[in-house]
Amino acid sequence: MFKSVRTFMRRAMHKGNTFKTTVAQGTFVAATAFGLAIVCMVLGVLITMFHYRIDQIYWEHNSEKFVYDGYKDLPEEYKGFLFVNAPSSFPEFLYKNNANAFFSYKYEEMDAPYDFVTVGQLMRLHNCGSAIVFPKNSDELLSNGEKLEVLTYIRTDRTELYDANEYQENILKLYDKYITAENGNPQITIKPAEADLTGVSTTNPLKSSLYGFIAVVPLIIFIIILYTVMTGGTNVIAGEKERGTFAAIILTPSPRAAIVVGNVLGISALAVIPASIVCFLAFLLTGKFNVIGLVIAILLVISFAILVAAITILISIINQSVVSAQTAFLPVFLIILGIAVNCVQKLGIFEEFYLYFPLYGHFFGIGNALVAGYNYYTNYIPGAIVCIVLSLVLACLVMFISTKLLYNEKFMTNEGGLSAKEIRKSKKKHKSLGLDKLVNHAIFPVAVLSFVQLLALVPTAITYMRNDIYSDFITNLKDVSGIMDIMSVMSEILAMFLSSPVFLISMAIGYVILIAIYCLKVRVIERDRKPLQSIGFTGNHALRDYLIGLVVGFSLLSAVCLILVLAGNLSFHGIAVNTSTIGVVLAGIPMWFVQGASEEIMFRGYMIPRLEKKFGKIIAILYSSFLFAVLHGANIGFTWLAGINLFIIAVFFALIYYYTGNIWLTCAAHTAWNFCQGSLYGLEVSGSTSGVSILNSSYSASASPYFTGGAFGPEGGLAVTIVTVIGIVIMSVLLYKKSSKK
Amino acid sequence: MITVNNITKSFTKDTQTLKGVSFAVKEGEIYGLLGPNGAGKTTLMRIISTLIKPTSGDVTICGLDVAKNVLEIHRKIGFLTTEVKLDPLSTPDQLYDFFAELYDIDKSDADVAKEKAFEEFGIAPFRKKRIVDLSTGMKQKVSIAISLIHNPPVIVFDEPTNGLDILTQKQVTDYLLGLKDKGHAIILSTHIFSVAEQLCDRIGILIDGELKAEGTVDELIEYTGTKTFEEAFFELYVKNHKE
Ligand SMILES: Nc1ncnc2c1ncn2[C@@H]1O[C@H](COP(=O)(O)OP(=O)(O)O)[C@@H](O)[C@H]1O
Ligand SMILES: [Mg+2]
Repeated sequence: MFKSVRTFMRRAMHKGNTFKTTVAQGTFVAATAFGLAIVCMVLGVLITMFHYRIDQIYWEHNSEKFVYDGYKDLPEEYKGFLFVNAPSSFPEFLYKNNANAFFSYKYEEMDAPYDFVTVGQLMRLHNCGSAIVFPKNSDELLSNGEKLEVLTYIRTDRTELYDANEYQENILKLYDKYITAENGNPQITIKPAEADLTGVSTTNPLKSSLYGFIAVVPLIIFIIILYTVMTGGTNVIAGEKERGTFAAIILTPSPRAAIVVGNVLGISALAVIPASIVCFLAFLLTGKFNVIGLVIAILLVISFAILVAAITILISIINQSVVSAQTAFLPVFLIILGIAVNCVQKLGIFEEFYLYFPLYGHFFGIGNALVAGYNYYTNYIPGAIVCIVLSLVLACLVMFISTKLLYNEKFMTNEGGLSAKEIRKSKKKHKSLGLDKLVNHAIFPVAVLSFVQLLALVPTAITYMRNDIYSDFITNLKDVSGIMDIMSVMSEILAMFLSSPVFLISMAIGYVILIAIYCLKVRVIERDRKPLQSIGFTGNHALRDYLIGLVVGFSLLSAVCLILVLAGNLSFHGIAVNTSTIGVVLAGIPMWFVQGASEEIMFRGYMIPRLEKKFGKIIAILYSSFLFAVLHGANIGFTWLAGINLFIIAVFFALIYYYTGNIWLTCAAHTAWNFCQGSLYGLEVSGSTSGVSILNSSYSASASPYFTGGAFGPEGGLAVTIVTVIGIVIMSVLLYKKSSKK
Repeated sequence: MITVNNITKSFTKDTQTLKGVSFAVKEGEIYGLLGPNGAGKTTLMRIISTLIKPTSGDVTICGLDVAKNVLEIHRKIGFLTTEVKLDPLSTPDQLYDFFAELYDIDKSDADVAKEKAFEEFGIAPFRKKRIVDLSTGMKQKVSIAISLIHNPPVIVFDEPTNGLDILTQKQVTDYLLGLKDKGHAIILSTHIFSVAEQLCDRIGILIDGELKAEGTVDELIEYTGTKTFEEAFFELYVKNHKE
């Protein structure tokens, strides 16, 4: 038994990894994009390690001296202290002690004193190195004679602020004396320790970076394991059945349990190796290397990999081909990924009992082990052990079921031993379900778009790095710390990239490439090659249709703006362009031209007829519109309303497509719509701002984001909903008339 | 050595692929199952080699009930069919080692046996090539070598010469005759008369899932009152096949 387990394990490791199908490649694209994000994030963390040197603080009170070295060379604006919810006597106290002469103080109010994220953001906003947070209504509490529980925070990206807690304590002690003198007894308890568990306030500058690690490293590990196990696990048993080589294995006297266990171990070993390397690297970056942590982390990785591999092998046994097994695995992949994302969200409100459950426990356990329990859940080990044992038990259960299934002739060989002709027949039947088609239609646009956007980012990034103007921004980067900050900086960079003219031009080229890829796909790559007309470039009145489309797009968006203006949400203030910026607006025109065309090709011209052939008109319209909406989901300011709007806009365009029978009109309408929105009226286009526009517009103070769409632009607001719904009604009537005429 | 006892098999409710087949094979004997395509030969062989279960009836091999001793049966039986394929990306060498491990054969014994088998089948020159790069005949030889890796007393071959050129066909049939002389019990299925006629000691005619006649070539000719084996087969087929 052990010998055969070993044999299968070796073979599974050997055979496991081939990039076989579109599903696998799609996941690969996602993983690559994710990997890039990680690289940026690691760079951000590295940058935070170069800190300012801060020199001296001098503080004197009633001939008592407090000296704090570290603030001398600090730029003026960093000599700041943040006081949150301070009682009214506090500034008075500071003033009396002449403290204002040395430092700058910022006052803020907020609800939850423990909300370290907000405190961190406020500190960054005001360039403050430390913060003292009083309870809300502290004046009231003081006058009631209640004790104040005060939290002290420092920014963790400054080693030099190591002593700032002490300094804050000193201020607070003095202040305590100051108010005690009036009221009699001590009024303040200081709780630096409480602040410590937030991940922002700590004496270790790495702490908040560590916080980022707890979120990101387990996520990477989850993705690595899921991806490797999926490609490997579906390639072994299901793949062997597909290739007809599984029967030979079934015919050997090796126990079925050995087949299952061997494959599970082999596949998980495939995944454990890279995941362990990631663990080890993460240790190097956190500097929290410890043997117990490493052992626990790797045990967690192994148990997670075994659990996922057991599930994959079960799926592999039930299915007869790689594609069907991967399609069946996709929901598992998404669910586990969803849990991982949920874990990231739960980091702030972490509860110990999460550690005990498989998946949640794996995520938090790995994170904790990596930082040696440095954050407040120091005692992560019992939870991790329970989680490991539980998941192994679960895996055994799944493997037991798999073994039992392997004795069933239905799952032993391809199609239970049908003759070759019948296999072909039943494959056709299987295909007619068309799930893989739907998945492919979703993955291909994502893959191509990511590819093109990554391409376009390259020249943008190069220009960015060579330009002096941006060096300021780089210097400011040093000020970054923690996952929140890094995220916000990254989105700042991204926003800057996206609005730079270089990116716009690169993207225009990118869209041309995208259109070329689609043409190639139709003409050359696909098995049933078709003329280019099959992506919607048909009809005898291309030019006429295109011109009508421009008018349609222009009028629709003008109607939206008219509604917004009439409702008092939007106003225009003359012309914004001048001779120096008109170039940017003009450069935008070809961009909008190819951008509109590429989206129409992807979602209407290519997708709709192909979906229709398989699933009928209704599903074709709904599914392509759904994908259209989902693909915009990552844009800035996306809301549910924006999603619904994009969906109905897509439905509207699909109806136009059916009415005209080609995509000339929709291409033009799409282009005109976006051009008017961004370059003419100066509004956001699906979350991105175009920077320069012909007209100068602004939202009124009372404008409701539900109506205007907020940061997503009008497409996120009800005004667009109204216009589009009217458009859909008109198109339906036209379509109905057209069909009844026939 | 092999007894097949009243086997029936229904894949669907209203069709019966095998309708009560019984026969027995002794050691040192080649038993041929002859029948047109779709007669149920492959199905029967899959049942004998435990890949599928019969609806009723039983098969015993060396006194062991096939349904109850699946893994032991695999040690006693070598099964070869065109549908059992070899991994296209492995080499004959790797495959032999892999299956030797799965049959739990001692490494040193396996190495000796491998050299011998590769020599015998002429696999040696392409032992390091991948299976995809081999011709049908080469593949079939590798398949045979591997399916007999554990030197089983019972050999079940489904259409062993299908798609082979005459030379390779002869190599394979010679090899089977050699095995027979060594005392192995062999069942093979075929739809080609000449193969059955030359190779088999006894032949069972399987038509529409029923064994219509059984015996040596001469007995079958006598039974049908025809002159040649071929005529005997057609006679049986016309009599029994209901359209
Ligand atoms: N898994 C299966 N499901 C349903 N019918 C099957 C299956 N396997 C074989 N059959 C049917 O059983 C009959 C016999 O097939 P087979 O044993 O392959 O014939 P032969 O090998 O003699 O050509 C065929 O009609 C085939 O359609
Ligand atoms: Mg057959």
